[in-house]
Amino acid sequence: MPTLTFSRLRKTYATTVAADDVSFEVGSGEVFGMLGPNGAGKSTIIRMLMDIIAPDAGEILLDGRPIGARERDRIGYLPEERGLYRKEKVLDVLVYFGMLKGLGRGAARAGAVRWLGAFGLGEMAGRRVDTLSKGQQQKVQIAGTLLHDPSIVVMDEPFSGLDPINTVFVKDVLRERSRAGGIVILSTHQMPLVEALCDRVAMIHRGRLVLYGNLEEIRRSQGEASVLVDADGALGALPVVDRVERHGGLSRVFLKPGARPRDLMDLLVQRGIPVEHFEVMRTPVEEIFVRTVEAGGSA
Amino acid sequence: MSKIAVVVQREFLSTVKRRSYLIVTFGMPFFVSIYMGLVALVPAIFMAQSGAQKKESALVDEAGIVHEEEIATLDAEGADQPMRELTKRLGGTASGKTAAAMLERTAGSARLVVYPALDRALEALQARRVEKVYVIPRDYLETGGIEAYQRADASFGFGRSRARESLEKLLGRSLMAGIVPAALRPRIEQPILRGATRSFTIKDDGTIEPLDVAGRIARVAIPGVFAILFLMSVLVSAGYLLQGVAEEKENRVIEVILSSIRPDELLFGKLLGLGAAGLLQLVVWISVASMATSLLAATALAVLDFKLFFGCLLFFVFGFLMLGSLMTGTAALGSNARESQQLAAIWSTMTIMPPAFTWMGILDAPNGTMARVLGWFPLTAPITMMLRLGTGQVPWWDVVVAAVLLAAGVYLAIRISGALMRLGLLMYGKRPSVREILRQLRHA
Repeated sequence: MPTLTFSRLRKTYATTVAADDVSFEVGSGEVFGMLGPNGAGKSTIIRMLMDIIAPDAGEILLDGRPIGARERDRIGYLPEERGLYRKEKVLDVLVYFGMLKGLGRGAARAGAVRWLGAFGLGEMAGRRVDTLSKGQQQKVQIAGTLLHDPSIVVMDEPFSGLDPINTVFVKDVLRERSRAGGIVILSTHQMPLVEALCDRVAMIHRGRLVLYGNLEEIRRSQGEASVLVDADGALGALPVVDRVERHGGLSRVFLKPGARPRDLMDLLVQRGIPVEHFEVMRTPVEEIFVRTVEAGGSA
Repeated sequence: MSKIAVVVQREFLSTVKRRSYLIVTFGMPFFVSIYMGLVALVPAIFMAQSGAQKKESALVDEAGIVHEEEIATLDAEGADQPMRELTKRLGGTASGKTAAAMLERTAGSARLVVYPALDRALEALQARRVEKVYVIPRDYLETGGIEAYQRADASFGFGRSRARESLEKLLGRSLMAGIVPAALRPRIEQPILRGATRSFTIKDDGTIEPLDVAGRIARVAIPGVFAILFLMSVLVSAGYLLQGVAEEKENRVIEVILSSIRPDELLFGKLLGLGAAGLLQLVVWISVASMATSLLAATALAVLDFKLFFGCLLFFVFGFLMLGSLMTGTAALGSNARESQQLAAIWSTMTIMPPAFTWMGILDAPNGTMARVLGWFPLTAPITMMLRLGTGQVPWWDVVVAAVLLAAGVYLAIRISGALMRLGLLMYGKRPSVREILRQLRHA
């Protein structure tokens, strides 16, 4: 069961610090999310993993050993800045990608055909890349990342340009990879996807690791307790309530520190306030994200 | 298959299969030969016509020394021997035959016609029946001077100078007639006949051998052919290399590739693949054009002097790898195709210019300081060493030093260019600062 260790990584550019003593670990069987605003240093860390950029200090280990070319062949990487050879045939491009990962021509071809089929692009194999739509090209790109059956998958914004059906498909593929004991690292801005997919996350801001750990634990420690309520009456006047915000047709009730949703429910029942809807809200990751960034990453 | 081999295969096949490559490779010789044909043929036809029209010159012999029967023999053997030899040599190929036939028309046309008096001759000149009037004055034997008349509108051309040659020959023969025995006359006219001359070389151990003319030509031809091939293949392949790098940068495909292969491996694979494509193009051009014969000749000569051939081949391949990698690495720093091309041109200039300015000095003193410095400096080594090798005077250890230094240069160039590629290709739309380049080079 492989474990990826990012240990005290540091990388500075002329004027900016892209990674400042960043350490975290990703284990097999999990989908790991890397979050952070644009320019936070996520791509730099991923590029260091792929040996495209060398760190100024620190190291990245796989099962305690430095990563060599052979280990790197086990990684499927979808960079944010990605593309295909536009004037060439889809199948040729994929076979080339596969062979660069160490596959023989036959195996690369078989992998390409299998993944094109899985994405419903089987008929496009002989077409030139530039005749495909943007979404189709994106799927070809993901097929290229997966066709050598990597045990580690690193994807930078994999869902941009994908329609909902294919988004679900890719999500399933990633889940399946992690269930099979692989490591999946996902870098994205799309918080709902992080919530749906990731077990653990690392949030990078200005090159520093500002949040790291189990998503649920982070939510619990960082989030404010709130409840979505549809009820008549002055909710703001209740003793456990801190403040109330409109949330669609409902009220989002923020509880005072220490108060639990059950306390609010008890109060509502006691005072005979009719309740149509009562839903305990988990703090959206987006909120934690925004709050952490606004606080300057000092969380 | 190694990853380098994968890149070589892909770069070669994807280039060769491109429509633009096919059009340029096979269309170019066709258009060039049509163009060259037009450029060469049209003036030649006009020249031939003008030569054919104005063929006679008048001769007025006031000194009374010209033997008219000599004019007849002159006409019979054709006015000028050198021209004849030239046409004979050209005779081999189809284009040579055309040229020879044309030369024949102009060459055989310079005739002298004796006129009894100057006024009659001048009349003929004004009436354009003759092109020129030559007068041998009474005091010719004392002074050696003659008089020549031509029209004010006379043009400059071959025909006239040949008429003058014929006249000189005629005068020489007329003066000898009756005094010099017939057997001596050809020797007085042409004391040394090239065709009957033999040359020898004496070796260090005193053995004497006939001079190997073919070998001598090989010594000049092999380095010459290699130097030209080197320049052409660098220019042709560099075009494909720069285009490929710019495309991968533009396509954003480069990061996917660099996550699977080291940049110096990628660069090396590209060099070999695209170099092969460029070389193939050259071979097609050269063989389709009638230069095939000269290439075949060079190959035949290679058999005569295989050491020289392989020496040149070595410097050709190493030189190509070094220059190609430097050009590509530098080009990766450019933010667009034009900038890339300008940056890459620095290297080709540095390679070509020094030997181009000093080649005479290098050939004169192949073991002099200048020749040695240029031969050992990796950038100027390829062309300089080809020239030096051609002289056959460079000691073997000197060649080995140059080859080792160049090999080190190739290694360094590929490492540096790999680092530059990694840096430049990931910086979309902007050029890295000098400081960043230096940092990256230290890392390499």
